[in-house]
Amino acid sequence: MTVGSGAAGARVDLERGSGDNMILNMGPQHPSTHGVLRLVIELDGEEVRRCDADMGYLHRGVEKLLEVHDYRGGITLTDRMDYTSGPSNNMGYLMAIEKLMGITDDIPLRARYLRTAVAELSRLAAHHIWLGTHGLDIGAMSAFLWSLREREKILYLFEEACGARLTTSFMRVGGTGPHDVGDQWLDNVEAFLDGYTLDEIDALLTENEVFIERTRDVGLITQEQALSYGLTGPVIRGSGIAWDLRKAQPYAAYDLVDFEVPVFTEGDVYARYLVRLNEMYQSKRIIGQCVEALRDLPLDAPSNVDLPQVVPPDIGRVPVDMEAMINHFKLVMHGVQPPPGESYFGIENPKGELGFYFVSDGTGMPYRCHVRSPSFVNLSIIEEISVGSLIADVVAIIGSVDIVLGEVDR
Amino acid sequence: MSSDTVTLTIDGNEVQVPRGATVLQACESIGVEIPTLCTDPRLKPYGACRMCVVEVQPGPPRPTASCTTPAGDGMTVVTNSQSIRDIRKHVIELQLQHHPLDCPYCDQAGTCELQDEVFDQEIHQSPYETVPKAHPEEILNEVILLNHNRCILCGRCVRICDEQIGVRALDFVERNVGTFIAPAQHDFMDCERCGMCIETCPVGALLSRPFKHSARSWQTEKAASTCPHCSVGCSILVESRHGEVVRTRSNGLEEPDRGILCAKGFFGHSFVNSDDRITQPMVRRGGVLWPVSWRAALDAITAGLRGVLDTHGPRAVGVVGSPNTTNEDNYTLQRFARAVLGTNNVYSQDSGLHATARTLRAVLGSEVGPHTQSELLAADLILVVGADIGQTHNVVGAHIKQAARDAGRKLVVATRLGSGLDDFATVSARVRPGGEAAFLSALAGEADDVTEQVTGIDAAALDEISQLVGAAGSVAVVWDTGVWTLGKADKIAQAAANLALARDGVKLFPLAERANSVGTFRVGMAPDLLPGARPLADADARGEIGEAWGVELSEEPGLPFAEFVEGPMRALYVMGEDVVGGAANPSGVSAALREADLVVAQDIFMNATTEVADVVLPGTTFAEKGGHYSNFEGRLGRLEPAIPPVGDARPDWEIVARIAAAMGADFGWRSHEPISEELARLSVAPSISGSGQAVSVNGADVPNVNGDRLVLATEQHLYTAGVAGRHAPSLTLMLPDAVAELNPDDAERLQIAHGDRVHVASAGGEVNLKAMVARRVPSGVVSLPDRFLEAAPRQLDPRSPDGTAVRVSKA
Repeated sequence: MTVGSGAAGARVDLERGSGDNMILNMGPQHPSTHGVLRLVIELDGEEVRRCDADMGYLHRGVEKLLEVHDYRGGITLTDRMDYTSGPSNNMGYLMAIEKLMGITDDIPLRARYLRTAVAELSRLAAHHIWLGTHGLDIGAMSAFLWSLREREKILYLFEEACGARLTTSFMRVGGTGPHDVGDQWLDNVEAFLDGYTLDEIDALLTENEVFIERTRDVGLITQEQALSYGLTGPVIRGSGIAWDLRKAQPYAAYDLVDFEVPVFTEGDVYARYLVRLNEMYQSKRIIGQCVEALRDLPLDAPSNVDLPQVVPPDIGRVPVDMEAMINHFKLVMHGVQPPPGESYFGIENPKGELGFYFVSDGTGMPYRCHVRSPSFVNLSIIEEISVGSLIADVVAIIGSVDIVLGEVDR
Repeated sequence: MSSDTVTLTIDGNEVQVPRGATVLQACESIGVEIPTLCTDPRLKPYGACRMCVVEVQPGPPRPTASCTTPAGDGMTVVTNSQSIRDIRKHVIELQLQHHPLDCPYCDQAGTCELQDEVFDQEIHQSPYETVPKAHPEEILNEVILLNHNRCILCGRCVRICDEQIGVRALDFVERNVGTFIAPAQHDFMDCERCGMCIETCPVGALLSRPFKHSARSWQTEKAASTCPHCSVGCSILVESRHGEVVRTRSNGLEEPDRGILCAKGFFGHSFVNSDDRITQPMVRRGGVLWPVSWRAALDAITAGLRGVLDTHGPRAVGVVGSPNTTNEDNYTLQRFARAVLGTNNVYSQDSGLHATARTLRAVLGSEVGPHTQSELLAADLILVVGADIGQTHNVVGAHIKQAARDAGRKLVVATRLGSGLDDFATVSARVRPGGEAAFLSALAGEADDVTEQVTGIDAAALDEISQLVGAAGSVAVVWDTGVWTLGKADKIAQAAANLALARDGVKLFPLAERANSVGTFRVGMAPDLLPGARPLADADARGEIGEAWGVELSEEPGLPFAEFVEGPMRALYVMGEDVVGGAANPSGVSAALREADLVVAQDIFMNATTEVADVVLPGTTFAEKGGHYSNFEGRLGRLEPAIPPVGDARPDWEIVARIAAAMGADFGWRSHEPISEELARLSVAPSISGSGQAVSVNGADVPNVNGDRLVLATEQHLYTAGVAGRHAPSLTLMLPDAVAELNPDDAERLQIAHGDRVHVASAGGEVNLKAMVARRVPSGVVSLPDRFLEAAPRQLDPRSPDGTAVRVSKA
């Protein structure tokens, strides 16, 4: 029989598993596969001979769903893809629509800074999940607890800004939508940054001999492999390629803030760990600058574009003002209507390049929508780099590639 | 540059348009969008809303309405300058000043042109204090509401009623800021309930009462289909939600409807989701119909048919098709009869159209038509005879009105009752019921001494009409072949043919009564016809069609229906027809069906035939299946399923095909498309040369009318639409009961008041119904609507009720 009652059907043949080799199913309910990933592994003793990644267990047809929702209605679907960094996904989606509508340059400064700050907060939140679980997978229990404690503080900040912790549906096309934040929130972010440190975790892991033993020279990805697989994010930067969309194609307010892109050349699990850890320090820097910039903006600075066809009127005017009523009605019932055309827009999500590709036929719903999700692309390298490693290393490799199955399957 | 085009410059682009085109049309021809509110492609330019203003040079230095300005040579047009944009914005802002905040519950919201303009012009802040109007909603009649507050006074309702329908029910009332839309006659609205004012209203001022608050425009699923109510075959857009048809609208400006509908087309769809629909197969056991599964019903039918075939042979079996069902349905049924049952006892109940088509083909040959509506409207003189086309085929009537008024066509109206066409007629006369054939004969030059008495038209008027007809280069003779022609359709057709033989340039337009009457003839729903209306006697046709079906076709024609029922009938399959209610002698047919071994009735509503049927099957309406109707021009009108069949109902062709398969002959059809293709392939038009013989039809009895005796006119009313129409609540609201219409003079003489119950009695029978005093009925005539079973004119004279003398008295 062939293993593969699963969604995609795995290619390793169970009965004809060669010779004395053993076939091992890892997942889809395995604690270290970070969701419902299933790896079908052919083992020679403890050594991995072949590895097949079987996915599709979390497929919800998000791309198709986006095609039958108006652009605003689609926002809620995006934060359910990479659910470790909801607001960041929201923003990638919104900016792709804004590009489709040709209003990218009209987005007010206030919204750009706020988006940058929130995107970096969600990068921290996402990396804390990675850091905690990656450590836990290879035996570092304390790192997990401390890491998620920090993440929890960020989720409180999200909740304060938009009412939700995980599935945020943060902001709208054309700016912040109704989610503009007040000074209190900025104070809270500053307080969070003041108390924020990674030193404890750094001390726990970075120089930890066991951790180094488990990660150094494990899961090697060469530059060529990284490029040919189309890897992005910390995975490619751990292989010595300084590719970061925030620098390469600055969006939001990234061209207005100072930060560095950490790059390590070793290409192993440890290098990817170092990239992410250093990135988190940079995120803290960026958030600090954004908060400062937001404070410096005048009080009445707009947070949404001044286009009635994009941004609904103030809700208070709707029941008393005919113009507001009509604009509100049209935007709620038919949504924003980008002109016919197509656009692709990618942002540097915590896991790599998250891209949205839209084709518009001029109606309120995309004619076609495609999501380039970093987890899906990055996952593909696992099959190759696992071969030859020990079964225990597979756990470290999965953790270092950092995938979220909600985004792999969509 | 030829002289019939002009060249102008629009926003810097040179454009050539035909002379006479407006600046607006010139702009649209190159894709320059100009916002409009009072423009409707069906209407003449009006210039009411001032949204379409542009700057035109040379010309006065002011903004000009592009919709009413003819494009001129060398014009320079600017459509989008700042000042123009400001003006448009201003126009909208002024409209919004008085507009109520109704969008959340206004039916038009979502398709509202005012909303669209506000959104497109990016208006989001009013410079004015808003002063919404607060008039109560006005109920104009059973189906139309008027909300003055939302009205923007574009006048589209006023104009469409006048220009397109020719009724002028609405008009502007009062002046200046106090202007509003109201019934033109103030206290009385002379309305045909076509709903076109609702259709054209750009905002939610005119509303459909049946549709009100039942769905939002973006929630409905839309299917482009064809109206099932008469043989005009208007294209309609069927909108449905949750498997229920919520409204129908006009769909496109193409022939035959050219963008308008009548009351039946706009409001007559509600029978589809009637609670009275037959929703599951039923089999009669112990005298009672019991719901059963499809399998049980099909088993009962196949067993019954096999039994009859074995003991009595194919001559004892017959099938009845229907002009209410599609070509595909009828084709499947007759193929089942001819190829599987082996009988030519194939029938359809539309005797008027069949008799007319046969007569015309016998006299004039197969080249006789049908002709298209465009040819009808292009004739120099249009002659309407008999029933009022404005009632029976309202949309064609509206087009005739337009042709008479706008295109300079002469119109002669010789109907039995007063008609909306009279106002547009060159000459109009009242022909006495029963005298229609004599009238046509007289025009063909065969007048005799009793012509005046029989037709009821005096010699002077007849002479005037004769001269008009004689002087016209081309003549279109239009008559309805509905129930009123019962027993005399062939005579009228012969008389019309006589006229066509007597002179050149005469085209005949018999308008069939029901949606697919023409289809039943063309598909061959007759004992002696084959698909394509090819004669059964034609051995080539038999061979060709038999080969396609893989059987040897019997050359023995079926018996006429009455003879079949009284004679060898042991099994009858009826699809979409009431053979009992529609029979000349209902009790006789009913008794014969009770005696039969198997009667299958496949229909959408219970009727007199289902009452005696052994098996009742749920058929489908136009909204639930695909297929085609053939309209009076022979044009195919496409049906598109809008909703899934209600209950366990199945498309009619599918039921028949399943029975055929159960009897061992699987036609292999899984959708209606292969049937359409097969029908088209086999419908080779037969070449039949007519006799070319004029046959005198004179010799009609002069009706004996005196005292309390009146001539009976059986007239189809605008708001009646067969059995289906009686199950459509919006239509029954418009005409709740059968009424006997009387002339005021006769009513006074007979001491009958409006609303009294009256007896209408003939030698053959009597009906009891409400009286209505109406000026449209000429003196000496009483008009009864057909299609009301409780007061069917047939009860007065089964063979040919129209034109008989009846006694009318107060009940």
